[in-house]
Amino acid sequence: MKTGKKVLIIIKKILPHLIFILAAILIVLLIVDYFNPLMKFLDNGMAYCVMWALCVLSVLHFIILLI
Amino acid sequence: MKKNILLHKILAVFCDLIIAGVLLCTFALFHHVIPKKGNTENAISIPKPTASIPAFSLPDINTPQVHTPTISTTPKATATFPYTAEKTSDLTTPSATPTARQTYAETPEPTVVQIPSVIQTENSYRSNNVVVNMRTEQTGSGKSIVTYHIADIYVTNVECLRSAFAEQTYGENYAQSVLNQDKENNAIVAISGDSYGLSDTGVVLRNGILYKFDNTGSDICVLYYDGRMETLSPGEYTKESLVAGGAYQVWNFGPGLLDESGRAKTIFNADKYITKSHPRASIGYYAPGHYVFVLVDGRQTGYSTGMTLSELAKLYEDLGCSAAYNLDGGISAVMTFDDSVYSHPANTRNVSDIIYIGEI
Repeated sequence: MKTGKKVLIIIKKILPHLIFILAAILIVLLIVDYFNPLMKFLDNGMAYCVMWALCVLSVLHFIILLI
Repeated sequence: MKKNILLHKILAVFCDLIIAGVLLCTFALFHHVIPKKGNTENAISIPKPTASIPAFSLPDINTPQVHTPTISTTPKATATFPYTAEKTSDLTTPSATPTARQTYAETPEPTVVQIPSVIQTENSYRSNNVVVNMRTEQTGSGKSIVTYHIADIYVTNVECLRSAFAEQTYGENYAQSVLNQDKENNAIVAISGDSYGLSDTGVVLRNGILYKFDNTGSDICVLYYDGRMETLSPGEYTKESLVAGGAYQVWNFGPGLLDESGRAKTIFNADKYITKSHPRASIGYYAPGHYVFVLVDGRQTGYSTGMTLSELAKLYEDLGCSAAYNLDGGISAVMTFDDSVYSHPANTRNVSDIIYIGEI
């Protein structure tokens, strides 16, 4: 039980940072894509991974805040 | 105490930003720098037509067919195309040292008069297989002046019009300057291609080999073995139709610039970014065996601002082409002729492919 709580606390602390990092990456990609969409900064597998990770972590963060 | 907490938070944000920066650099490394060989195992060789590839005729040497656009904005056209031979390469003399371009004529006995002579001037090239006429035009005035270069091309065989991959390798992130690719492929004239390497998707069919087929929603430009060239919108082509139609080259950037009747399109299948004024590389088609490369310099106020898609389409309409297609522009757009850069780009970058004319 104690371990579970500890993990939850760590996740609570780390999650906002992960979301911030992913959001920062995505903002940079959005900006460079705006200036030159032909370079396909957003239209590639890695950018999609970043978007998916951001969405999943945001939902997770929302759930943890509700608990 | 409060100061310490604030400092701690600022430090945490700073660390997060550094991690984000490192991840972005890693992303850029994999996405733009590290070359990845493309999968060629599933490449399909397009069968050549059962009948032999038609031979097209070249224009008469005494009647140069220069198509001058009827743009009336500024008459400062610097079209200088002397058809007089300044430099005639006679490969029949034993002492003549064939250049790399002339090595196609590998005759064991140099004294036998079987080798086609090449007539080359500063702005033209003529052999038994290829005629290329180069010229530079200007339109507009003052700050809105636009400079563009036209390579008017006749070939006897469609296989003189070829594509090449950077470092002779199909894949992502392989890139070389247009000039280096020109020299490696013994090109007579070359322009930057469609930068297929920038995208994970798209149609890549080069020199009769289909490497990849993904219908991306972009227009494509198809050159067939019979010498015809056409631009196709999404939905007008399938992998099967390209193979069955005898496609020899497919370029996937776009958009197509002319409609079926050869008039300039007014609505383009392209992002808003592409429609704006940029340096341009493009290819046009008159008839089987007769093609044109147009390279528009840009982003150099007072010399050339570049062209919008509408302006480029109008230029092709004025040239009298029946099909025309926009290729990758911006700092990718470069034209070379006679082993040197013919256009005047403000900046250049390495590109993943070129379209060029070479001897067969």
